[in-house]
This record gives sequence, C-alpha cells and structure tokens, in this order.
Amino acid sequence: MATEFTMPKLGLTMEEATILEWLIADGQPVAAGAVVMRIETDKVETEVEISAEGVLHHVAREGDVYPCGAVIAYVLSPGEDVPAPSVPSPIAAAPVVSIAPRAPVTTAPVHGRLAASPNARRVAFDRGIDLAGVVGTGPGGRIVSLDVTEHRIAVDVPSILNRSGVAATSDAVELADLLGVDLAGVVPDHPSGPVTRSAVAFHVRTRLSTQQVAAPTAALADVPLLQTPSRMVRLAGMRGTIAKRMHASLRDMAQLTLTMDADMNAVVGDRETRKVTGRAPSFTDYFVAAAARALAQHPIANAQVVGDEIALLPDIHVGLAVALDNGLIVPVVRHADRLRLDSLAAETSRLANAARGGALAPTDLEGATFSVSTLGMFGVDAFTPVVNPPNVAILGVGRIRDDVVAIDGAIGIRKRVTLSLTWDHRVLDGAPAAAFCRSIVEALENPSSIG
Amino acid sequence: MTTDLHHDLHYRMVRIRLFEEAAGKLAEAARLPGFLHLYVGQEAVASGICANLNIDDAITSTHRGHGHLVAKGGDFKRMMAELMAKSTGYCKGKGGSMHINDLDLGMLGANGIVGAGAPIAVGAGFAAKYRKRGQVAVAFFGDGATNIGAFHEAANMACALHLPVIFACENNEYGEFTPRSKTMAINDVVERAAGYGMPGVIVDGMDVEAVHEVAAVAVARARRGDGPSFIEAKTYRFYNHHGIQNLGLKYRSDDEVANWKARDPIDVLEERMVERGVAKEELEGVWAKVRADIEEAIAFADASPVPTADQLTADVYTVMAS
Amino acid sequence: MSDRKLSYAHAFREAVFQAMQADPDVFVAGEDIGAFGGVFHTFDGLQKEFGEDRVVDTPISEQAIVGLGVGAAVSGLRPIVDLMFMDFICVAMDQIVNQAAKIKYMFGGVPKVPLTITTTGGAGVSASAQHSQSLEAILCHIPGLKVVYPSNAYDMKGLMTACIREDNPTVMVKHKRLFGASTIVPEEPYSIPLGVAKIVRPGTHVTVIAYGRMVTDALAAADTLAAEGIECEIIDPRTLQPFDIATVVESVRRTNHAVVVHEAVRFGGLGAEIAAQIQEEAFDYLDAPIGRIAAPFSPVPFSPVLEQLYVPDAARIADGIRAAVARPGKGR
Repeated sequence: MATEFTMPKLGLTMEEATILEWLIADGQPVAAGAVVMRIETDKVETEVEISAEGVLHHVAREGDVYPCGAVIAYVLSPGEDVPAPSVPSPIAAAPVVSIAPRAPVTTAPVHGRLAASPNARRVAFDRGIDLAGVVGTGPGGRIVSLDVTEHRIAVDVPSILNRSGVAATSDAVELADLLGVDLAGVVPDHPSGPVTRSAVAFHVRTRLSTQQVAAPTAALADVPLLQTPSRMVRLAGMRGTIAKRMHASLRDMAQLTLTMDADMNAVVGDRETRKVTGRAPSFTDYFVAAAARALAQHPIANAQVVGDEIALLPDIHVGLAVALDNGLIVPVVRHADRLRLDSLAAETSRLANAARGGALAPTDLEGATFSVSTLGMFGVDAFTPVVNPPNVAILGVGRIRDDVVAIDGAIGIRKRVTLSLTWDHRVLDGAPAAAFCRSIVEALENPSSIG
Repeated sequence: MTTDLHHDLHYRMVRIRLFEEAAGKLAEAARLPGFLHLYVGQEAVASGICANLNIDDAITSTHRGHGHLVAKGGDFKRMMAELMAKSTGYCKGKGGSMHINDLDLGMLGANGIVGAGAPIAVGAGFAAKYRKRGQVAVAFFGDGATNIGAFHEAANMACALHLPVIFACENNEYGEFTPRSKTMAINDVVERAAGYGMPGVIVDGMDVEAVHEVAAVAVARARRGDGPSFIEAKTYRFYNHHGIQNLGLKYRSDDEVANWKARDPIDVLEERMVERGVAKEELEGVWAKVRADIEEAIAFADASPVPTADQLTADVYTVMAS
Repeated sequence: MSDRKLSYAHAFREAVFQAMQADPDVFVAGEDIGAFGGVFHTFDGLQKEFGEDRVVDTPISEQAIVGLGVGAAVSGLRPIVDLMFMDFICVAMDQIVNQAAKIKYMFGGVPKVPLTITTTGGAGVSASAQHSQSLEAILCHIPGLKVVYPSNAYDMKGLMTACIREDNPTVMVKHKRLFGASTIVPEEPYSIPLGVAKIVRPGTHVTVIAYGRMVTDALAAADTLAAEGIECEIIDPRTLQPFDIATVVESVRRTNHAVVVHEAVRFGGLGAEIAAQIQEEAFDYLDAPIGRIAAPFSPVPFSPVLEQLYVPDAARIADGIRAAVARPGKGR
C-alpha cells in the first residue's frame, strides 16, 4: 500500500494551505523526518516534514491551495504503484455546480437496529419524525438529537414558493433576498427537501471562496479586462485570505466607525522617563495596553457572535497588525491586559521581529479577541479599520501630532492622536462603543494606570 | 585490640551516614521527589543488629528505612536510582524512599504505614519456624509505632506462637513532631514487652558495640527456638522528621539536638578504634571509599531512564501462566 | 461584603476555630495537630487558643483516634478527629465502618453521632502508593456516613461548618494539592448545606461532574473547549454522600451529554455510580454514552513522570469531553 501524504493541519484554525514549493522532487527518495515542502497558510509560511520513507510521488501542484487532510503525495516502497484516483482537487478548481452536500457518514445499522441515541429517539418521537429518513452524524454514524432537529428544519418546515419557483424555507428566502442570491442555483441539503437557510449560506460561502481564490480565471471569464495586464497577482495564500476575511467582515457585520482624540503628553513623558532607566516601549505598546485595559472594563467589546448569541470571552488577546511586503499579518499579544507595559513591549517586539522574519509560530497568530492597527507612520490621522472576524471591534491609531489647543482659557501645544474605533453594531450600540473608546483615551492620558 | 567486627560495624555506619547525607543534599536541591526520612543519628541500631543477621534472615522496616537496607547490604546504585524515581531503582521508580526493599537481602520493605511492619515480621518469623532453617526475623519500628494496634497484635501473636522474631524499637523520642511523653504514659517502651511474655532489654542506641551485644543474645535465643525478644535502643534522629532542615514550628530545642549530636555513634566507635590502635588514615580511607561509591551511585542514577508510560499499569498483579 | 481572601487550609482552620468558639462541646484530636498545628497547618494555633484539653495531640493510633471520636460523640460531645492521610482510614476502618456509621441504626435510632472525621487525600506530590490515594468511593458506599470533598476555600469553610453542626458522622476530605489555593471567604461563620451541588460554570453542550482538585482542571479544560465552541456546564457536587443527583440530571436533560471526572481509579469509582444514576433518570435525554475520566487501575506511582500520567489533567479532561460530544459524521 502506498503511504498517503496529506496537507497537515498545523493550527486550530488552519483549513487550507498553498504549496509554495516541493523541496524534494517528484520521483526522488525521501527519508522519514525529511523536509519535503514549503507551504503558505493564511498566517505563515512553513516547512513540512514527512514521516514515511520511500520514493516521493507528487500528486499536488505548486501554487495550488489544498484543504487540510487532502492527499498531496504518496510515498512508495519498492514495487508499489500510485493508487488510481491520484489527482486531488485543489480548492481553486472545485467546480461550483457539483457541491456535494456535506457528505455525512451513512447511518450504520448496529446489528440490524437503527443506531440512534436515546435523546434522538425521544426528540424524533416528540416531533413525529421517522428516524429512518434521518442521516446520523454521531459516533459510528449514530443519529444524535441535532441530526433530528436539523432534519426537521430541512424537511418539515412548510416551504413557500418564491419568485424563483423553488421550494425554500422562509428563512432561506429572507437570506437569499438579503444577499441577492437566486434560489434556483442553490442545491438543497436534502434531495427532496426545500432549500434551507444553511444551504443558501453554504452556496454563498462556496461561491465567494471560489471566486476569490480562482480570481485570475474568474476575472477573465466574468469581467472583460480593461487592458492587457502587465502582471497577474493571484488571490491565494496571504493575499487570498485577506481578501476573503475582509470581504466577509464587511458582508457579515454591521460596522461603523467613530473617532476620538487623545492627549498624548503623558505618554510622551512616560516614555522619556522610561528611556532613562532602560528601553522605552513603543507608542504602539501604549495603545495595545490601553485597549487591553479598556477591554477588561468593557467585556462586551471582547466578544464574538455565535449563531444568534453574543459570546463574551474571558481572555483578552490583542492582535497587532504588522505590514509586510505582500500583505499584513496580525500577531497576537496574549493576555495583554495582564502584562506590565515592559513585558508587553518585549512581547510585541518579539512578535514584530518574528513576523518580519517569517518565524511566527502558528500559535502566535491565533485567538485575537481585538486588534489594533496603526497607520500613523504613513501620515494618517483617521481611517476606517475593518474588523477582523470573529472580533467585534478594532482600533485604528493615527499619527501623533502637535495640536494647538485651548487649555484653561490659554492656548497651548499638545501632543494628540486620533483614535478610530470600528465596531459591530449588532453587538454594541454607539453609546457603549463611545464609552469603551473613552476608556482607552483615559488610559492613555494616565499611563501609570497601564503599568 | 580491634576485630573485623569493629571494622564491619564502622563500615555499615559510614555507608548509612554518607548515603543519607547525599540523599538529603539531593532532596534540598529539589532532585528527589516526594518524602525523605533520614536515618542519620540512628546508624548504630541498624548496624549493630544487622551485623548479627545472615542474608536469609528477614527484617521489616519503617518510613525511615534507608538505614535498614544499607545495614543489610543494600546496593547504593539501586537505592539512589529509586530515590530519583528512575526505572533502574529497587522499585523501578514506582515506590520511592518509603517503599524501598530488597527481598534477596531479606529486607521486606520500608513502610508508609506506622506499625505495619511488625505483623509482617511475625509472618516472616512464622515462615522461618515452619521451614526449620534457623532463620530469624527482626521488626524495626519506632517508639510511636508501639501505640498502634498492629504492633500489639503482632507482639502478642509472636509470643503466643513462639516465633523467632526480634522486636527492635528505635526510641528516638518523637513520633513525627510530637514528643513521646505526650503519647505514652511510660518512660521506657520496653515495659510493654513483659505484658506479652518476652524478655526485654534497654540499650544505648548510640553505642554500636552495645547494640551488637544485646542483639547477639536476642538473635541466638530466636535461632535456638526460644521465642521473641524485645530491644529498646535509645537513640535520636539528627535531622528533621522529613528531610534535613527544621521547617515550620520548632519542636526540639537546640540544646537537646546538640547534646545528642555530641554522642554521634560513628565518633564514639572511631574514638575507641583509634584508642585500640587503628590508624586514623585507615578510617578516613573507609570514608573516602564510600564517598566514591556514592558518587558512582549518583552518576548511575542520573544516567538511568525514567520509567516508561507502560510501567504505569504494569505489576499491579502477578501474571499467571495460562 | 468583605473581599478577604483565605487559603483552603486556613478556611478549614477558621471553620474549626469558629465552631470551637461557639460550642464548648467541640474538640479536636489527632496526630501532630496540637503544638505542631498539623502537618498541613490546618490546625495552626488552635491549641494555643483553646488549650491542650480541647486540641489533643494523640498517639499514632488511628483506630483509637476514631474510636475516641465515636465514644465522645455518643457521650454528648461534638468531636473533630483528624487522620493525617486518607490512606490511614484503612487502619481505622472498623471504627469508621462498623462503629461510627452503624451505631445509630443498630441501636434502634436512639444515639446521635455528631462526629467529624477530617483527612487529606489525593495525589500529585510523589507521596507514593500509601499517602496519595482517593478512597472516597469506599466511604460513600457505607450507609450512615456523609462525605464531603470541597474544591475551594469558600466551600471548605461552609462545608466544614456544616459537618461540625451535623448530628451524623461525616468525613471531610481535603485535597493536599489545594491547601494553598485562596478564594474570597467571608469572616462570619456560614454553612453550606450538605448534599447540595453547585454549578460552577454554566454551559449548554455537555455536563461535566467533577469534585475536589478535579474542579480546577475541569474549569481549565472548559476554557480550552469554549474556544472550540464547546460550552461545558461544570457541576461540583461538593458533598459526595448524600449525592445531589437532581442538579446533575436537570443539567444533563439540557445538555444531553455527561462526563464524570475524578482522581480515584475508574473501576468502582464514584463515576460509575453517577453514570448509573444519570442513565436511570435521564436515559432518554442522552446523545452519547456517559464519559468517565479517572485514574487507571493501579496504585499511585512514586515517579513524577508516571504520576502525571496517572492523575487526570485539563488536557485529558478536554479530550474526554471532546469524545463525548463528537459528531464525526458532521465534517467540520
């Protein structure tokens, strides 16, 4: 049996990666532990080792994106052949029309008896659903209660005829109208059932990812080029991820931005004092620290939306946008609210160096609950940062400038900065958002409070 | 005039002392996990008694058990490895200080349960009588253990069944942190022996020659088939109940500790040996040799592997041949 | 409300202290508890405060220590007797099981036995096989005994106070790794009723029953799992006998999944009893078999490496919970 070599899952949130380069050529021998390829995930470039030994047979191409778990090569022992279905589908090539509904494990009858949990049987009985028609997703294909409730939504909710003449649930119609999707193109979850809301969402998600990742061909196919391009840049890897995430952010959230000025004289003074005794934190560190302290005071801003609920998150991890040549990356300062300013500065400088050196670990990039983006160095005062999903807010920081201001009736010059807070209106309204931003300003104007 | 016996007793005591000092230092350096009850100060008791025993005579021990194993000929390497929780230790790293044992040497185990060794010694004595090989069993225990039911049941049964058992009480005046005077209403533990019908004797537990002498009588009596004896050795632990230093509340006075340390059993014996013409250099040579042995044992233990995960559930039962 | 923090050890001590102040019939007896204050400092300074007649240093005589408590209790006093390590209950088993637990029933219901036996259980300090055991299931099996096992300082004070006020024999089990753990503990005396569980973390996907030190680890596992979208409801029964099955069943009916965590060995552990009761009361609400996370069937090893494998930790608890709620057929 040839040994399968699959795209590894290197982090909790990693779903796919681009093969940048095969480091061992097709047909060459590999030893266990050898580094065989470089990949690019949405967060990092990394090398991947192999654990098998034999002759490497590539089945995946450089430059293509593969989901975690996809077979991308085989390792063959002497006398072994490559198994028949040897060409995996890179995500970019996934045809839009033939989306198989999430292929569930077929219900495995146990000794001739339908495998269903006691709770699934109770729920099915209560709702008059025949379990024989329900597909099980639990251990060993057992039907669990969620299978029953999902089945009920798919089959039993009265479907209504809509403009497309397609059987669909009212939720589905609502979502389709909202997103401008033609229901006729949506594949229902259940062959004989109506189109459900989740089927619409799945349809949209698939189309979006296909369009973006396959941008060059899609663009050629759908939109006439204005000119012959000098170069094509593929929306894959980091660029593709940014494209997907930012678009999804604006699509899924009710985002709006407020701006507020903060007096920075105290921070400037604090930095001068620290410079005397050692290394001073960067201005960015003050913003991260101030935001983290404010998040602790306003838990609603340290949250995420899950289904129809707002989940308040206990730990505060602040992402820090760092610009790279080919995009940007958001390393995460974990538990930023608990770090003293000097420890925080040490951590951000470690992360920034690692980011620019391509040495970030996948764990350095996961789990941000809020982000800070600074554009002050480019002369920007205020802007509209886009929230990093699944966060509910992001802080934009402008340049620190000399402002002429009235102080107690006299005119003076103060160091000031403009903060731009974008938040998700689904989660918090204007007043609490302003109060949150106010807390950041207060922390900056009183730097001893952020330690 | 000195004899081989003096050198033997001296060697046993030095081995105990240096092993315990080394273990104490390692524990303070956080290199030994778990409990560590050191035998320093009481060396004369284990050495004086075990010098009368053969390899097939049995002993049972206490939570303060390293000295008994060393006196019975224990292997430093396997002891040190056990204290470091290594797979090459006496208990494969699964028992530690409080369960150290060597059945090949007749050392039936240190014990975490006060008084629990005495009934086991009765069983060993029963086996000796049963097989008629002239073996004896010695139960080592502290003054505190004579307050627990298991001791009394064992003493009575050994006498009732007329078994070759020696009850060796090391009276170091403290049950853990509580002075003996608070936990019994008699001054000499040996008084308890009469109630069970066995002879009892008090001996200076800091004088190894004296201990050896009374033990010789008791062991001979047992080997003859004349039944159990009780020895109360008055002794003292130089260090704390656990480890070396006094942590927490001070429960012994500095004077008391100093007075006992002035009667260090090894010093007592060495002075006598020198008086009788043994060169100091010769004694120092013993210390040097034992030190080297301990260094070697520590290196062995350091280099030994920790137990593998499969050891976690191994040895719970003896596997029966099917 | 005061926000004074107190350690688990000192919360225990304060409960004893206040009970002794309030009731002259309360006394304490045990090994090394008087002048020395107990090997875990749980009786610090009590002898100085109340004298040697009420804080009694006993010989190393576990059977007599419990017997002392039984006899004094039926004679009208309210004894607290301490067995230094839970392993040592085995030395005193006759007095605990055949005497303390049964006297009331055997004697036709007349006597009261207001006895509190306190002891220290659990592994995690390389104390090896005879000083690390979790024997609570044995105690819970004995009709006539009540058994409590607090997971934090607040519960410790309230439960210990309740034990002392209780007219039945109770066993208070402390975990040796929790002594230093502090929480807010009110200064005034208060008691937590025996037999009432506490939901220490609400959740929707799975009910996790954990007690003693395992509560801390279960909470850590719940944090990890929350990031994966699995919301655990953690229930600390606090009292193991009588066991508050109603709170557990109510929760399982909502979450449809249950996992029991304990440090004792799995076979015949409390997890078996709890799982059995859940399926009796909530069989039709279960979506998966009830998980049990516990120690393997071996004595507690000395080696720190093996001991770490022996005692369940947050990672192992998280794995067990994931397995209980898994829907492998669902894809991602």
